[in-house]
Amino acid sequence: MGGPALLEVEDLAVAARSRRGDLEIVHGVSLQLGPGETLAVVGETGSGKSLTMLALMRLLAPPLAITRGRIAFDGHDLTSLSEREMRELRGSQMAMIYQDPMTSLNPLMRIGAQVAEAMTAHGVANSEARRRSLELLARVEIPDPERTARSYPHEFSGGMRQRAVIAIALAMRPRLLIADEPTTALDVTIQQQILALVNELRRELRMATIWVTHDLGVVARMVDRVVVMYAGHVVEDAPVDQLFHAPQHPYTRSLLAALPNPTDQSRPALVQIPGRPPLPTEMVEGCPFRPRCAQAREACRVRPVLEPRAAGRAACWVPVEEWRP
Amino acid sequence: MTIDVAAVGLRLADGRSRAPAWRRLLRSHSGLVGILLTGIIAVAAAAAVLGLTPYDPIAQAPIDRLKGPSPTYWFGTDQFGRDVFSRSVAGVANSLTVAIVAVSLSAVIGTLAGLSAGFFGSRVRAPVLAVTNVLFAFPPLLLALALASAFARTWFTIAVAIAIVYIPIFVRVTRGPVLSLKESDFVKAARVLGFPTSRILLGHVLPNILPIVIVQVTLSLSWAVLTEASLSFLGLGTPPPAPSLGSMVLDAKALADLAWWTMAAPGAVIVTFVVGLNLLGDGLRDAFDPRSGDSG
Repeated sequence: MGGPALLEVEDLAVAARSRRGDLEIVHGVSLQLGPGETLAVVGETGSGKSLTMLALMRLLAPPLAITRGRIAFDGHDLTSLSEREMRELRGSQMAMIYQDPMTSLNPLMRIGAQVAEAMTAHGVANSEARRRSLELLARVEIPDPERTARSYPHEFSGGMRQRAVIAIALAMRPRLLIADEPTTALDVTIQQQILALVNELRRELRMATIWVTHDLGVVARMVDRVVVMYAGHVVEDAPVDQLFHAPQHPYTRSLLAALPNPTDQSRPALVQIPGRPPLPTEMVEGCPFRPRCAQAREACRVRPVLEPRAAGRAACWVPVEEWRP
Repeated sequence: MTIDVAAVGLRLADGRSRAPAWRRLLRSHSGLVGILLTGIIAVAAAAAVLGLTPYDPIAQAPIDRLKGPSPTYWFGTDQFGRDVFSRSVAGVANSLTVAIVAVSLSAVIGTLAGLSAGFFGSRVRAPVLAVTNVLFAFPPLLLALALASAFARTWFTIAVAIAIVYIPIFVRVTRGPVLSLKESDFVKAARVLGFPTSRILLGHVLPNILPIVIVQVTLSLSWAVLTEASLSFLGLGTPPPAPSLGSMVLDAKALADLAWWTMAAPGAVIVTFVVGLNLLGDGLRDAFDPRSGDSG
């Protein structure tokens, strides 16, 4: 990977705590991210990707809690920081943009004030914050910032709001940006603009970025590496080219096969993976993907561990050469 | 290209924007009548506080006892020859002072309690709700009666008694919305941005529940005026000789056959004021309701 990692997550587990015991939902996720690197975390709904991101920012609400593991961010061990120290990191060093821009802005505050508040909360003087908020609004391509800064969120369209949310997230020039499906709620035409904008700003500010998504196509062109999650496990972690051309885990291969390909007439328009992911309450013996896996065999009754494979890592006992087509 | 799409979005959104709350309030019938009625009473009360009544409300004029309404005495006089109009207006001022102090106290305490009960975990929530439920279990008038008789009978004691009775209402009314606001994306976003809890609570959650608090304050004011009148009528309200609407009705009870105006005047003032405040509260609720259209 070269150079010290900005973010290093080791064996991170998240569980729902209750009097009858812990129900583990994220089972020992490990990932690494260098400064300025971009990573995509892909997985189906319920695979634990958003939960992992919340855990990274230490924002899990009870009964959810981190039950084991280590999160190293820029030399700090986040699991041992006090809430106050964590608060100083949030928003200034690590920021987040989310799915639904329609609800992530305060309806009663002017846009400009919301951008400025992201800075004043971290000690920037009012006048300075005001001046920089206009620059930021201009930077995220919101027209006529002087005027729009005085608008309320309901006067903005979805795309405009997402631009404002991005301006807020980037206000303190964070070193890590987590984008949790930032385009899901937007029109397809706006999606590309927002993706391009974030990608451009990421390069400009040399921010490490984690894209959380269930859409492989969206991120294929703008990330360095992809982490594939399934049922709370990382099943594959690979450079983006390798992941698309030589997937090392049967689940990744099924995901890629499920991507619609209108030019390929030889297969059905939509391919599905049979079955569904296990619920956290359902215990699967061995590999969590085994019940749906075309490659499953006796060895898979023992849970595989994430091991180096080709240029990345994968959690599968069956070597790619032995896969059935 | 990018700019074009965004600009179109902005224009569309502009066309949808709604009139501000106060303008929608003035456009609704109940709001307008409510403002008018409460306005008249409030102006009269303010005048009384400044001593601008036609006669001194506690000055006695034995010669002019029990005079009916006339150009000299608009609402007539009582058994001591005191001007009923001046006394009614001064009574409103006293009742209103008690009601305003009481409702301010309960609104501030109740809203803060509701905020914390909704926002924080069970260690804060449980005791707040326990106290709220106990206070709720008391019949309002009875609690006020007990407090008014247990402590020195000043207008402030009365105000505190009424305030305690109304605190639980503010806790209940604010806690629900706070619970849902706590889970709203923009409050979560504020946590992601590393805002301190105090800033999130006072800067983001409180402003969003303020419309509810304002409506509740208006309605509670009308109930507080009624409660104060009831307490005074029972002889536990504002101490004499200061005029109070409730004690005026009490005094007039004995004179009902002789001088109907001594009872009608304070009664009419109470009714006007309470109806006015209720209409105003309804109008405010409609004006703040995001679901109400712009048609009204």
